[in-house]
Amino acid sequence: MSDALKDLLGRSAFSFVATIVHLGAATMTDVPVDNHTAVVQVDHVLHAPEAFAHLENHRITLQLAQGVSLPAPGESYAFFAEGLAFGESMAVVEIGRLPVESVEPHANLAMAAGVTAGAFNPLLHEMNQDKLRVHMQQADAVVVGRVSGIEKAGPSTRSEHDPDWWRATIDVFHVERGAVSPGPLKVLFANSLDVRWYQVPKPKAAQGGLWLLHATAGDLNVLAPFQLLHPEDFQPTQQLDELRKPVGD
Amino acid sequence: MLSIVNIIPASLSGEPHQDSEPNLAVNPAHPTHMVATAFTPAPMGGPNAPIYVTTDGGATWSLRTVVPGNGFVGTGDITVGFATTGGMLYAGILNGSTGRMQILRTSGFNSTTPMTVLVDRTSEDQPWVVAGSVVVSNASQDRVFVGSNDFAQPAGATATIDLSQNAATATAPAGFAPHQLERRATVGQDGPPVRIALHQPSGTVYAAFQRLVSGTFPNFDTDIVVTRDDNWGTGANPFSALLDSADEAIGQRVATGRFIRFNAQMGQERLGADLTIAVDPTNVNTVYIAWCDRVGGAAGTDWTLHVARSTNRGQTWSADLRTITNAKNPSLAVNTNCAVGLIYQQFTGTTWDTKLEITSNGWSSAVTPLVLHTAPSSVPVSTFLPYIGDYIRLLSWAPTSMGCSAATTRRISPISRTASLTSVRPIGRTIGC
Repeated sequence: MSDALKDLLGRSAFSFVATIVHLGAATMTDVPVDNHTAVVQVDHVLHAPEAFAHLENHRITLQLAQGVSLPAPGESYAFFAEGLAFGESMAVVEIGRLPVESVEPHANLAMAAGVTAGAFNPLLHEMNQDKLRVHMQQADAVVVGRVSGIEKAGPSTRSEHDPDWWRATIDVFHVERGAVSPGPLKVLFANSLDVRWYQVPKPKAAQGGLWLLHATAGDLNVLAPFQLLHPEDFQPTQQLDELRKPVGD
Repeated sequence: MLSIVNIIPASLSGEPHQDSEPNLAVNPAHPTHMVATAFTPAPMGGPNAPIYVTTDGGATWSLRTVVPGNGFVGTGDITVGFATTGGMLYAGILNGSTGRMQILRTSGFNSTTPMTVLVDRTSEDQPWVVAGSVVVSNASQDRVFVGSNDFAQPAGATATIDLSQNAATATAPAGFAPHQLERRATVGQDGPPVRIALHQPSGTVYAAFQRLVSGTFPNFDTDIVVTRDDNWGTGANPFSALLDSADEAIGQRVATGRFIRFNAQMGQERLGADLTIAVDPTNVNTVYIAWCDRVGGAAGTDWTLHVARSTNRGQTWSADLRTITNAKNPSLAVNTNCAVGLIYQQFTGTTWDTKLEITSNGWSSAVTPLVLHTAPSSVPVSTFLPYIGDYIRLLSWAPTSMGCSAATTRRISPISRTASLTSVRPIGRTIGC
């Protein structure tokens, strides 16, 4: 069950226990309706973005998946879904469903802990850690070190989406993986706050931690051998032990 | 009557996103059908970014997650346009996941089916969509133009237009192919904006761009250039109809040697890419253009909006009809009574004011701006750039009145950091020349 649940969680941003109220109907006036369009009553939100954590007792539109049995009005399931349309109400599309009994233990634990829409928080944390482990394995170098210098690296291009490359010197004192030696290491990063780059880590003076580095290529390789590319490329040092565990552990 | 509508749907009320860089399309065949866009992430995540749609003339709006590529802020740059007939919606985007330029279409703007990808290329910026339709052999064909700054074009002549003569039904790329607009030397590229004005009855298409003439980043001297095609861009050498009256090269220079400091800050916003062009739908000879530059040059601190007019198909241009200091995001529209609308966003030092001016005599008499809204410029703190956007859009569609619509980002609560998109619904009064 855990693998099936993880698969569904990996493909959906919203899960909820709901009861089918009507088939061939919708809570929004301007979404297409067919026999797989259902009005459902949300009985319990299992996991959701914060804005949708309090949908209990609301009726929403659920576009049921094709190729699986059509539930009857009055039946309840744990539905896994992603967003489709948002207006005076909202419509979501089914990614999958499970029997309510299979998610009850998760929901009960979260309720006992007083957590809203947190039935799968432990599983989601595990999944996020696994994603990070995979990302770490795909990095060309993983080091622990502290920033000892920052400088502008090369000219800017004439685009508002210019990355504005800067270069950090990281004093490496532990190499977890990659062809890197302890000591100073040059790392490029996009200092731009442009929409395309603002989430890339921007090293600060004396900042220490775990750095997931990606090899540069072409013109960038002249500026530095590695770069930061992804929001998760900087982690607290304490994450290292966790990320050393095998994926799925 | 002017009404301003918060287009964030009720089910997303209070959403905290920056919602920068809005754009808007109105279906000419059904003007109550509109689509707006912005840097809005899909509310529940997933692979597709949202568009805003309305079927009641903008009174109520909802979201459809149909744009491929849902990044941290939803899609990247996006503009939209409806064909004149048939209701096909076209979009030019920078994919929110890949950053690649894509041209999209859907026959159902209100559908929940993801838009179809017609073109997918790397290294481009600011795709700007304008669409029209024409009847050929009793069949309607969508003529679609997408301006962009295409870094793959040779010789640093990057101002580019993709065009298709029949984009509605063919499989990808649906006839789209890029054509260089820039014909002169540059410092290595043109500026980001390429803007287009289509005169639907005649098939005349104007395109304006920002040529970077000299300088080094971030300081450039620029020319504002207008090109023209007189038959929908159908010839072998499209957009070559307008030769400069001085150097006789393709593309009339409207203004030369204008100083721009790219990414200079005004409030929390960056500067550099402000350009708009509009043609009088009743007189193809009359064209308006607006752009921004720093009048004070390298030592200046201003960002000045200029408006000029040509009455001979872009060959010669007036002196400034209107200048506005410390304003950006100009967008022009002309209605069938030849009233001209100009929307812009002006920085006062403490607020961003979005203003609309409407003139029936080309600003020969003073115009009192309509302040659409005022928002504090320091809150919320910017999480990324652009803060309010590198462009907004003004449209006219009503046959007898100045039907203006614009989408702008509005921050309505400095405490809760609430952001809301607003649209301006038709101005129901007749203004003529």
